[in-house]
Amino acid sequence: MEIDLIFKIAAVGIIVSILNQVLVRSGREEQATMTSLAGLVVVLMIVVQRIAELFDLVKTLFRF
Amino acid sequence: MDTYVKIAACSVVCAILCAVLKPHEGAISLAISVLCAAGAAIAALGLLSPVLEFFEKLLSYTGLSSAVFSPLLKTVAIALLGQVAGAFCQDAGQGALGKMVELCGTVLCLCTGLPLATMLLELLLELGGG
Repeated sequence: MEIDLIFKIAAVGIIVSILNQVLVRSGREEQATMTSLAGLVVVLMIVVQRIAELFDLVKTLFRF
Repeated sequence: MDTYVKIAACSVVCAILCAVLKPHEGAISLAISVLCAAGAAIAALGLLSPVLEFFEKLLSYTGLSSAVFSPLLKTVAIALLGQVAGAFCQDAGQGALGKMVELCGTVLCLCTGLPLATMLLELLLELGGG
């Protein structure tokens, strides 16, 4: 298991969370939303690759 | 055993990270839990390949065609994927979506088992002289 990826995503989440708080406090709600969205897209790109890997593994393992 | 210890440790770390991130970034927290679950499933299913090879060896001794065994494997795969995908949806708070994924998996399992049922019916008709 690659725990690096989990830590990487957690780091992205913490950075996005801090940026979100800073931007919201400085009255830039729109930019805060866009930052959260960008972080989510980055995280989803990593997660989707792993899920595709899982589905491919199941397909090859069970002779689909 | 080693793999299981790794999976357990990763799951605990992931749960702590999720608990930290959930109040601020719920979506990223969910992504972490999905990633951890996918990684654990990949690690566990990798261990399953010798078991499946053993099953195929057993099947070769019985002399049955692979058409009998193949729907069985496919059904297991559909059930596994359906259960995992349904659990992910339920974690995201979409219970109805999760149930629907499981329902679709059940329908697919029935479709996969249909050729076997047809073969059985034909065999019974042949035995009955019909």
